[in-house]
Amino acid sequence: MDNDLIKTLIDALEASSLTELEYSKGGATLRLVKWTGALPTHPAAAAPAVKRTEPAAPWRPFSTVNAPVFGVVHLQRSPGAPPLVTTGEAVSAGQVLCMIEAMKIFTELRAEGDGTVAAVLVQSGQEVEAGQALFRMERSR
Amino acid sequence: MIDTVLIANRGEIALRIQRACRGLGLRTVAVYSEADADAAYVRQADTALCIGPAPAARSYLDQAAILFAAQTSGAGAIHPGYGFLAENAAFAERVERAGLVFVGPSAACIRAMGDKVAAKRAMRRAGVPCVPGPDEPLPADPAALRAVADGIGYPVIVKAAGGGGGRGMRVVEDPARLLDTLALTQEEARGAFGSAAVYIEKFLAHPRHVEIQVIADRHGHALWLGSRDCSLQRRNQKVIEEAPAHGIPDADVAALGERCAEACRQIGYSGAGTFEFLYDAGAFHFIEMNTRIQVEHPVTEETTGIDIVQLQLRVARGEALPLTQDQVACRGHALECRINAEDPDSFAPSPGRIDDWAVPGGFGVRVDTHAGPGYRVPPYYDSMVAKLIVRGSDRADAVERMRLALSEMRVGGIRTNLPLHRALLDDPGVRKGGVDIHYLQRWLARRAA
Repeated sequence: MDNDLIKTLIDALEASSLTELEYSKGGATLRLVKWTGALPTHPAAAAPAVKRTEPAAPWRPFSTVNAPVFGVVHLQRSPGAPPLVTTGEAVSAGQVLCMIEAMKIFTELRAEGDGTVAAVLVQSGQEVEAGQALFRMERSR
Repeated sequence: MIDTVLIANRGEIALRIQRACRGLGLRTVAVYSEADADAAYVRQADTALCIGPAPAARSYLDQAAILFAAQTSGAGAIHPGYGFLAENAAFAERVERAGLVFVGPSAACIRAMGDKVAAKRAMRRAGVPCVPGPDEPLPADPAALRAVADGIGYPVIVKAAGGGGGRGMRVVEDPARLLDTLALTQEEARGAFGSAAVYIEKFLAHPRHVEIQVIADRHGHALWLGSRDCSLQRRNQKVIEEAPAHGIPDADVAALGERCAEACRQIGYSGAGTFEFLYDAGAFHFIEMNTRIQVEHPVTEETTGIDIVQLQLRVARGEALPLTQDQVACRGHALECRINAEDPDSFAPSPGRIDDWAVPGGFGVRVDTHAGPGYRVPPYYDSMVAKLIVRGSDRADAVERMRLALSEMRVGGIRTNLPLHRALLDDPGVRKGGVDIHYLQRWLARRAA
């Protein structure tokens, strides 16, 4: 079970309404449990998340950036240009993350707050539905 | 003899051309991108060929793919519609060289009219009134440039020779800013149109947009089919169009129309075309010629009773025009509202699935559309989903019919500019008619305040 597969499973769980996901392959079993309250502070670890009783603080370090409209996502400003952001990159509030093209109009999507790009969930040039998750962001405290 | 026509376009105009072909007993070939694979008009064509993925650059603008589709399907002619390759001289040339008929004028005519300075020169020769300003390349010497602008009188407008459709232009009010503005416009023109050539004209502050529809055959005959007013525009995109242009003396329009037909004969034009003018203080000023069918052609069809797209096809296959100028008349008044998939307030695009759809009908009402319930408006192309056209005995009658038709029309699942059209048809200025090309922008600014 490689890291890419585990990341894919995490993203699949994240994007769904499921709260648990169990995956077995070659004798190994991975169980992912979605945290509905607070999340552990180091969730990038590939190990299965464990249910814990957490303090009341409703801190949610993860959020997704979603497409505002049905369109085509562009992760760079022009073909051949470097991507606007990459996984693991620190971003500040207002920074442009990507552009959505719909009917010849390009709309810039900006980071709501300071944080880190935890995952890029789409490929450049891909068609995306309104509301589809494009990035998973980890917010700075 | 042409018996099969390839339609190199999509959306409502592809369907419009398909209907015209069927009316003439011609077989149709639809070419489509992957994004349009499920469109009803694609299924209804005699032959349908996928020419590439969704982005237009890789499908509707792919000349080689379209030519290959024409050869594969046995099409003898290609109708380009509007937009995409409709005014691409190189494409028209390739079609001709492949031994096929391009439904439109010759490549030479398209090229001449695409160069706005050359077009202006040709129009002056034919006696078509132009905006004051030279029709020669500008001098390089700063003093000579200033003399040109002084001769025209400020304010002047600097335009890219390769531009059009409202792009690549700048107004100069202050003579001190002339040279800077020229340099800036040249730089932008180089980037946007591949040529730094610019020209200078008198800037008209409050003109109307009035245009003349023409049709010419390959035997030297040309007719003008009446006037249209397309002054209601937002960012140079027409929103509501009408025929005829309201409140302009018939004799003035007829004199202008005859000059346009004469220009067609002089430049050897064939097919449908439109001469666009700014109308200011009782005078017409030529701005450009569109060498294709236009979005707003139905208002002229409704007032003349002439199927312009069928006529295009007939002259393309070599027929002489079947009527003479004295048989062309304008009866009543027609309006067209462009229904776009966009937010009626912010104008943000709104592609997606249409889940509720009711179109108006009845006497004097026409809806040209490729959409319907369940149709998914793709995000790749322009936002127009329908054209709502009405005809009345006079302008007031047409306005009332349009209000009723708009009240009947319902589109759900996506946002459309229907509320904007309803509000505009209630506006006293729009109802009275004859507003200038900046009216809608002012109206929107007032609404936003």
